[in-house]
Amino acid sequence: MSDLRTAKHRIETLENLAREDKWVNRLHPLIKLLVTFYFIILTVSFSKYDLNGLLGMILYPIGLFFLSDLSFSAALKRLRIVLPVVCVVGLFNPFFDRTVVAHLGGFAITGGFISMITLMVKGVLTVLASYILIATTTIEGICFALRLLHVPRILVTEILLIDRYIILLLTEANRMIQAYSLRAPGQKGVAYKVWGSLVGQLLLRSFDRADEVYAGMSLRGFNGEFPTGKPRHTSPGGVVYFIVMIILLSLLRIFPVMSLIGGLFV
Amino acid sequence: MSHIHIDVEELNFSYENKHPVLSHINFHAHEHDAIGIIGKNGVGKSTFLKLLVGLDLSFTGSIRVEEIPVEASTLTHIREKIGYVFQDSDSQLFMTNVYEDVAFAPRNYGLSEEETDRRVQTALEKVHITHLKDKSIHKLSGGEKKLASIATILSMTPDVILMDEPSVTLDPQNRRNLIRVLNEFHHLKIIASHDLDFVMDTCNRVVLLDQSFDDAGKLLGSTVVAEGTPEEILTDEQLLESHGLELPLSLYKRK
Amino acid sequence: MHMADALIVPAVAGTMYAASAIAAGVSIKKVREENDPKKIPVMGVMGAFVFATQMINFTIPGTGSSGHLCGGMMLSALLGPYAGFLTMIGVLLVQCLFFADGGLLALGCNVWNMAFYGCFIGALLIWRPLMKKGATKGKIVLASILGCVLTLQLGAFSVTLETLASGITELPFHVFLLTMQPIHLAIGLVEGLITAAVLSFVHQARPELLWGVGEEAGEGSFSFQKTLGILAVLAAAIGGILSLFASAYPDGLEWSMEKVAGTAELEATGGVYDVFAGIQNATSFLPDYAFKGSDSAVGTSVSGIVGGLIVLGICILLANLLKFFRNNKGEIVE
Repeated sequence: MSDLRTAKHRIETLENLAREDKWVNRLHPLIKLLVTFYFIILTVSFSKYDLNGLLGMILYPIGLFFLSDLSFSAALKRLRIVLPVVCVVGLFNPFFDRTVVAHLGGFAITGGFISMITLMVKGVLTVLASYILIATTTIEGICFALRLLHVPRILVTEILLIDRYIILLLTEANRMIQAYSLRAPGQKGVAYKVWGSLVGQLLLRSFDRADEVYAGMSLRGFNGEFPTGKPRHTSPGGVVYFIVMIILLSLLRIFPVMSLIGGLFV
Repeated sequence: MSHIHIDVEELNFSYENKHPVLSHINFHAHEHDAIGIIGKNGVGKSTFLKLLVGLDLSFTGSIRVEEIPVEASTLTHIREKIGYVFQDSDSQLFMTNVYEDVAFAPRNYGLSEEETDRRVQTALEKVHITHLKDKSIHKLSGGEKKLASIATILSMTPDVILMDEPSVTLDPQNRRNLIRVLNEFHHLKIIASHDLDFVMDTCNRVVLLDQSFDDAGKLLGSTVVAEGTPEEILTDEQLLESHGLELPLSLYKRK
Repeated sequence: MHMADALIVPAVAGTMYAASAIAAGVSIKKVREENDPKKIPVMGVMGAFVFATQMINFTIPGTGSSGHLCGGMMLSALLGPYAGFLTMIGVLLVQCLFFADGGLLALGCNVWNMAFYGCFIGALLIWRPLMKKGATKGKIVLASILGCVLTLQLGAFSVTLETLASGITELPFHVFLLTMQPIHLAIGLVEGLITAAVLSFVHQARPELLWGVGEEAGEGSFSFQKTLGILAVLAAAIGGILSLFASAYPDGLEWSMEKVAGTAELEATGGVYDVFAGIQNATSFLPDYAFKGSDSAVGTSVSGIVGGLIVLGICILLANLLKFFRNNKGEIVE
């Protein structure tokens, strides 16, 4: 039953992080979005046996966790949802791909084992990269970046409105569920016979809310186009950051850094 | 500021031609007036305010703002002159943070970013919430939301401010703060409320609405049953009680 | 049914982004043509509504478990397919942003798997024809269940194809499919029942809110040609995905890789080999073309893990040093 409250808490925590006035937060949102996207594409582009090259990509999240002073344990919690799915899909690889590719201290290492680990590492890295982006960038910032990328205004407006009303609706839904569970003790979820009326009531209220919001907009000169402003407090070093990051990530993609370092010792 | 005035004559309104809400309303407001529209729940106070800004145009009779009739073709002009503050601030404030919300109207009216910024700063200063500029709307308290709502219409530099139940959901301190802020404005103010103490503290004229019935007992809609200064209307215990209201608490204690 | 970034390769992600973008482009055009500015706040608030209801647990009768709502079918029955689709894009985007569960790259896939089928197939092929002559409770229940089951089956099928086309799992096609489809049959049924309950309630309370009810086939409405058109697009999309799937096992490519990089001399000079293979990797985003059965890949992996541990150690050391200096100076040195 606490899903609604958990969701609200998660959104608020992330928003607080994003609103902090730190160096990484002040970077232009478009730059952060592009770098994150570039990182994710590079990460998933490693072949499924190229664990060796993939490991080098770990440097990006580690580096940014330092720069942005984010809590690593909070980020790890984010993995709870994605990692199981990725693991389930990857878990079968060792069973189907039994080609022995190496022996390590008496153990036979199969291709399937390598590809499973590769998949899991990819899962962790992509989630961490998204987390770093969101924990240092506000939704307004991302919407502004999306506008610069020519994402249609109607979609960006919608995202801004969802952002505005999500907490309100979560609170409202939570209140309804609380009122419901006070009168239905011991139930884990919402019983079948009230599915329609409970969600339906919330739906009608949302429609009424939308009506009033529309009235409020049209009273303030709204005619179908939503004006978007600029993010304030962006630091000028963005371009440098962008170029440096693209070069560094490209190098990480090309050179298997970890094995080069390891090679010095093994 | 021009000599703004609003003239309502023989206004009738019903919802989808079924349920009559307002009937034969005559109402005049002038610059520097602060008018309290009072009446019990459901008499159509909010509806009346909504008609003044043309949120529903299916009325009969006439509403004129500076001699310009409220109709589809004049809405843009009228809404620039009249700012409307919703009872529910969450409907009024639909942008993500305070600054963006206050900047919404100026940007829609095509003002430059510099002018918009100037307007936003001024509006925020007028309601004393400059420090909340970058705050997310959903993190504001009820009182802060109300002040931010007012700022969103002040940035349009309106001549008239309409407010629907402004004191509802405010705690005593925020309520007092709101009264102080409102009394600093020299706009024409029209405030719909059943909080008579609030009306007493902010208005210099009071209009009492109540439902009227024909001889057969059929509802005709609400009409103006009394009008005067707060001292005249709000101290008349018999008048208030006969229309479903009570003396303001402040007067009640003194009695 | 959410796809994770890690489960796909850039080629699949790009294809699905393109497919979803086309559907979004058409939807935006349609919504603009309607020229109803009120749709904008409605889409925003309804997006938040769907988001909130997705967090509610619904107890499934007769079982101890609970189900959740996805919302595509419900939204399009209220807003129509075009506005419904755009709203779902918003919901999915905000979901991957707010919860930071990843999925930026997989967004195209997720929009297609969850929003496209639910909104277009559900609304245009099922909801609208059924409601043409007015809505009844029975028809609403039928359309909801049919729509949700069908669209979730299509979605699950797409997930299977996208994952396999990306070549990250060794799971055989039929095994994967036989796991995905039945699970999503159950999920579809639950979603259908919830959707039916909510839409029946709306039908009772505010019937005017339901979309496309009692519309006789006119000029702008759904026609045989349009059905064909949509099916053609669908077929093309599935064909595209299938061909990607096929290209994940390109014998020709593997052969050429061996020819270029797989010689003994190159392997002997491990560093050069790695660099070279790395460049090859970077220039081609298709997976699964090399290293299978190559001992050197694992060999370097071992040194990779060692390298990783060393770097991690240095990082922890650095972090502590950084904290030490920060505490002393009170400010981070940039």
